[in-house]
Amino acid sequence: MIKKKMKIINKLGLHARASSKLTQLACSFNSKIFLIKDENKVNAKSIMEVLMLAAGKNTIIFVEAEGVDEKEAISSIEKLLLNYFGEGE
Amino acid sequence: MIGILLVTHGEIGRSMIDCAAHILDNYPISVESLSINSNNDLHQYNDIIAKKIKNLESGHGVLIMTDIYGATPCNLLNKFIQKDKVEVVTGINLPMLIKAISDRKDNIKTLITDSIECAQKNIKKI
Repeated sequence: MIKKKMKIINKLGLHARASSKLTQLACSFNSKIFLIKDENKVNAKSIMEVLMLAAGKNTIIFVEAEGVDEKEAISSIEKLLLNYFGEGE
Repeated sequence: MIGILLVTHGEIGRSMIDCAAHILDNYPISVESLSINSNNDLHQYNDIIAKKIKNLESGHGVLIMTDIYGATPCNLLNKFIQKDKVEVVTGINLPMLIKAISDRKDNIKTLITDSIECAQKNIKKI
């Protein structure tokens, strides 16, 4: 199991379309993937669970993955966040 | 796949499907809407609803979502309910629809429970 701290840096935060992108990416891995913000731990493969984090810009989250492709999952999700979810800002 | 039919006042259903497609970046399949205008002859809607259910039925059932419990769109649907085959839920909101589309499984009971739970969870005071 890998757990990594990440920061939401895009302007709109983990809004609906960003959550959808993250969910779609998470679904492409076999590993179980969770997002953790404060006390809340949600399934990264469920868009409505991800949205319940209400994670705005500069929020710190932890991404946890467990499974055969956990390393790739963590690094791909980190790349998506660092790339501002493809939103440019 | 379970079909989803939105039967609503005005264009709420159509708009919700458009919004869900925008968010999910994908137009959902087996999802249709029907706008009900209570000033029209309501009998005409029976055939339309029956046809839409038939189109959406692929062996796993059809979940119909409507807006207000007890209102005309809802009341029109009573006669179409068939346990575990054609079911109706009221109080539709966008989270309910997105949940149903994105976590659509082949068990209509689970889909109903999960969709209602998601809809309720998303009603909060912030």
